[in-house]
Amino acid sequence: MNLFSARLKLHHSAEEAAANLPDLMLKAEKAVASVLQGEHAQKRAGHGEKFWQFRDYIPGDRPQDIDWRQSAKADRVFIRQKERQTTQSAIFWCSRSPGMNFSSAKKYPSKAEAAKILTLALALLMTRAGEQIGLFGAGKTGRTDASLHRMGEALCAPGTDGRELPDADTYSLPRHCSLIQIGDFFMPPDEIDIAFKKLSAHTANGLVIQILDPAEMELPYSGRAIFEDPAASASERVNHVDSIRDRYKQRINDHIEAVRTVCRNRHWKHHLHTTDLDIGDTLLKIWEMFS
Amino acid sequence: MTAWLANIVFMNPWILVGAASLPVLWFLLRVMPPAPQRIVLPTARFLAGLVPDTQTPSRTPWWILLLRILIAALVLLALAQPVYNPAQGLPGNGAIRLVIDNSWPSAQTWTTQIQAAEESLAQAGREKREIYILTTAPSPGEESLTQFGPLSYSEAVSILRGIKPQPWPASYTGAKKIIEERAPQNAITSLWFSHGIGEGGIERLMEPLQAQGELHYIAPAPSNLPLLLRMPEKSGLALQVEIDAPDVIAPGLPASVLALSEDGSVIDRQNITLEPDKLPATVTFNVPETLRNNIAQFRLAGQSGAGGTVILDDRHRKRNVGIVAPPEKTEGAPLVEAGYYLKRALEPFSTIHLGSVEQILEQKPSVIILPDIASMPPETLEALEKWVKEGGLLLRFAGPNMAQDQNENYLLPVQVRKGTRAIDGSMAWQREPAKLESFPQTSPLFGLAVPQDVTVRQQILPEPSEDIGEKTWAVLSDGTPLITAAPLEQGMLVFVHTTANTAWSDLALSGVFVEILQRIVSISGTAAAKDVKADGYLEPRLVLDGMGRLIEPGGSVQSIPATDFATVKTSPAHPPGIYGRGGYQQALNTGDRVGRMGAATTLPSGVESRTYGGDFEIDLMPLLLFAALILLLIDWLVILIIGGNLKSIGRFLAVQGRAAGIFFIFSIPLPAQAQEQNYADGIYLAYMRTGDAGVDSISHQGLQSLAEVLERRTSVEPEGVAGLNPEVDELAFFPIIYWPVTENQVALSPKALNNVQNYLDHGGTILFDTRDRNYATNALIGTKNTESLRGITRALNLPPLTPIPEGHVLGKSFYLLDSYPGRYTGGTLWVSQDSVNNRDGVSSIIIGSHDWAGAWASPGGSQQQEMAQRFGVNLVIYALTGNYKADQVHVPFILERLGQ
Repeated sequence: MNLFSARLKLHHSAEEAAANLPDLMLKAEKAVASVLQGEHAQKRAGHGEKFWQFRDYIPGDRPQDIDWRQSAKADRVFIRQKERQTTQSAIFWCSRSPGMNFSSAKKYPSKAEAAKILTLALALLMTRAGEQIGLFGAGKTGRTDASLHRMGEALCAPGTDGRELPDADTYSLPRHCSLIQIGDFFMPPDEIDIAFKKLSAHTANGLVIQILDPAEMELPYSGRAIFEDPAASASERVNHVDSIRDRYKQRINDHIEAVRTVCRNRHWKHHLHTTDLDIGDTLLKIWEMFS
Repeated sequence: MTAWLANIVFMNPWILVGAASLPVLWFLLRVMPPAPQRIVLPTARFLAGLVPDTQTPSRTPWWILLLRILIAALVLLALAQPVYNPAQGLPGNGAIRLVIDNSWPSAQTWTTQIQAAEESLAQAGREKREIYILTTAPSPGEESLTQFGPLSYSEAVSILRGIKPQPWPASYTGAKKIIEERAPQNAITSLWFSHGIGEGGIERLMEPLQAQGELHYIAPAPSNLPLLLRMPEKSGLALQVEIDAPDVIAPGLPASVLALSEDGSVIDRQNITLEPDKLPATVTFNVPETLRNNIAQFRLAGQSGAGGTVILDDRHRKRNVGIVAPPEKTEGAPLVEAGYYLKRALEPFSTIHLGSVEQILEQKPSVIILPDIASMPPETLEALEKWVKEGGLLLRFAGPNMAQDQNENYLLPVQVRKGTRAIDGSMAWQREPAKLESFPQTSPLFGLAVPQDVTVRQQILPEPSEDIGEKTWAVLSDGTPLITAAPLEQGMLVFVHTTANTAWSDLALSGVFVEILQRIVSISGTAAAKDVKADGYLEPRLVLDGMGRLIEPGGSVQSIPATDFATVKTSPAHPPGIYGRGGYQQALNTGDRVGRMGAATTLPSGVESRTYGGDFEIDLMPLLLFAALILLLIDWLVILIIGGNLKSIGRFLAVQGRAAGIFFIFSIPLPAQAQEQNYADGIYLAYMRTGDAGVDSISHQGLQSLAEVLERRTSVEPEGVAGLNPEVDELAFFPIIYWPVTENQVALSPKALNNVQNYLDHGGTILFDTRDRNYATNALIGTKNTESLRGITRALNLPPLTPIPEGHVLGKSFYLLDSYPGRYTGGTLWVSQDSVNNRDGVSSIIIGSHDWAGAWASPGGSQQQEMAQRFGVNLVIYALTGNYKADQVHVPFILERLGQ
């Protein structure tokens, strides 16, 4: 009996992990849908996809690429190939630090969940635009649904690591890629600057999405409290939370501003997302900012 | 409120001094702040070095303080042991006498009486007073009463415990005599613990008691007064009892009456509310005819005692009586028909069937009446004789037909002469009709009143014989018999020497005719009918004790002369109960022998009267401690809420709840192994535990290895193996159950049978394995295990079985098999015949004798074992997939039809 149960347990945990993915993908796709709707009006005409040649349909081609008009003229099925554009690749880094799992209230998603959805949604948009996507630290980039799926599975893998910034030493970015970093970036601005400096040697096109929980912005507590930092396993004892709230808010805003400045210095873009906001709206803003 | 407070007395008042420490407590609690809340926040690092301008007032809020002070105060109060309404001392200061009413009504108030008496006794013991105890009803076997005393406390307690309620009335005169004989020199205070019912002559005892000192009369509250159950004097056809009570009872007092059978099971129950102005209240039972005769007694629900019990005797039993007469005629003159008189006389107490002998015999009557019917076909006569010999009572009436009968003297108690004797005929010397003489002592009719106006004008005479005297039940004034009777094997023949209509006599017009018939009918149906002859005494059969239980009569219980039975009073010599003689029984009920119930309300002046339970004492300590505990819990909750630890409360409650649940499970004295596992999560292979450890272990191992085979070869991945007990386990989780049958298979309880039936009815499959290589091909018979199996399945509703047909899905569901071997090969496998009846083609039971578990369990890989495993795989797939596989079998044909 132990034999069966051990085996089945393994079976189950893999399945449960996979079960999260469709949910995440669905949320990402929902967010993307709002972007694409917004896009229609402005992007549709003359996006510069030039005709290149017809070729025979081979299994595996997307049905929407078939040129029905041409196909109707002959006994074969034609694919309308477009001029090949040099594709960019986009590399995503999504923070997995313990602090990301924080959520101050049930109605808000955790920061990690918001980060994953944003990552997947952006990746989805990128593949739609024909660009290569890949995860920071993972070898392969790709532009197919399979690579998207692979990325999703990697994101959904359980566990955390203590890393609050991408490690530029262990992974070299592909040339001319965009780097999209999503996390809370609570490290001191100097350290962030050092890390970004290394990364910017490989890429000029960077986007930093800083995700915060509303509670982290507002400190909505009162009375005596001991605050514990899940990442640093340190704790701060505050005897009267109300009286330090304003100074805390000042500090956290200063920090965000400092991160923004660091990004600006590298000519990277910075966006702040709090988990009480709609991810679709944020996505739309980022997408406009990015393309 | 103040009056209420005034009734509180502290047992340890000095503890209240501790209240002075409460202000100190206030101060101490104030400086102990509640713990800070812990909050997880990823930005905690930004808080480093932020020093608040103000400190949170780390003081306990005032209302928490108040709560805690209150808790402390409550505990203090509790320790001081407050008592509400402390018991008062006993009246007087000399010796004390407890008068305990223990006559028949006391059974219903006995616990209150004794409890109050014990309390007073304890008080008297503490005050070291001399104690006397007097009961008002004599003990069994004694006519007179005794007074105990002077007694010490411990003696008095043991005597009090020995006193029991008695089923007869109180003897106040006897009690009076005793206390007057043994009057103590000093004044003696009497406490009378009464049942509240005024039996006759209560003041006769009160006077001498008062003469010797104070008298306190303690009675139950009006709603607790005893009730009396009796049969109404005229009940007719309906089954009725009366409830009587003193008319001081509270209005709307509920009562309920049970109709019990002889073995004490409840046949019917009627509820009624008593109103003081509608007493006695009548309760009508509406019981089906067939059940009616089973009712042996009526009883008040709850403590009934002799007064709340009515025993039914033969008079209340309805008999089936057949009268051989043409069914009711629409025209004609009823008044000349014998059947008419008999029917009218018997109707109130029996069920009557009219018709031919054959028709009547079908109704299984206790009595058949032949009014003036002489000859009948021989086969009818034989059937009638057989019926009498088996215990029937045949009652015949004379008449013109009888007088002419050539075929005489058949089925008659006496030899009769041919022809009739006309007593008032012109040739008779007497010239006047004969009257009825009083019934002889040996007759079961003895004791009936003899009317003077009954005359007999014509009769059939018996041949003189030696035993005519003892066969005679009734005689006429000239000494000739009117009614003769004789036993015939188990049965009885009774002959009335005159007619049942008015042709020869006016007996049929008289009231005694009804009574005679009632007596005769009541004799019937008892195997001992032939023993009716005895002397004129009714012997006690079973008597009631004080609490209303039927017991064997003791040696002191005496027989009652039949003549006095209607008037005898209940007493130690004649307790209520069943008295009888031969096959004839009569019940002596308390209710029939006492008059209307009345409360003892008019007491002589100077008697202190109160009701029970007036001076209860309440210890307030547990209440106060409980309140303190509740407040403590509230305090704890509040602290948790302030500390923001609501989640941990939830967790705590969940853990506690589970712990409580576990505790609850363990506290149930059932085999607690049941339901430990959650079987709904996956597929479990199951077997029935047989109780034989060897067989169970083989089943377990066999299924275990079958599970491994299944996992290796098929997509069925069993989670494990479960051993089941049909008595306690839920079977619904298992697609198939393997049931090895052993010789010692115990019979299933109805609950287990229901469980198994329910499982089979809702899609379960059971594989019965008799494991004994039964080669019988056309029937499941022969071996011991098969018989055990039959024992299990006898009470189950199963579809008809058939030997497994060729090409059954069981041979195709995974592997293609043409035999189903286990440890044995050959033999027949039985499946349900109709396997397509809305069970998805799965046979609900499969029976074989191949010992499959044995084959699965044994190691090694012989060919036969492999086949057995394949059968196991097929079996499980079969149970799981149903006729899906059957459809698969048909795929080739379907394809063929499609023209591929």
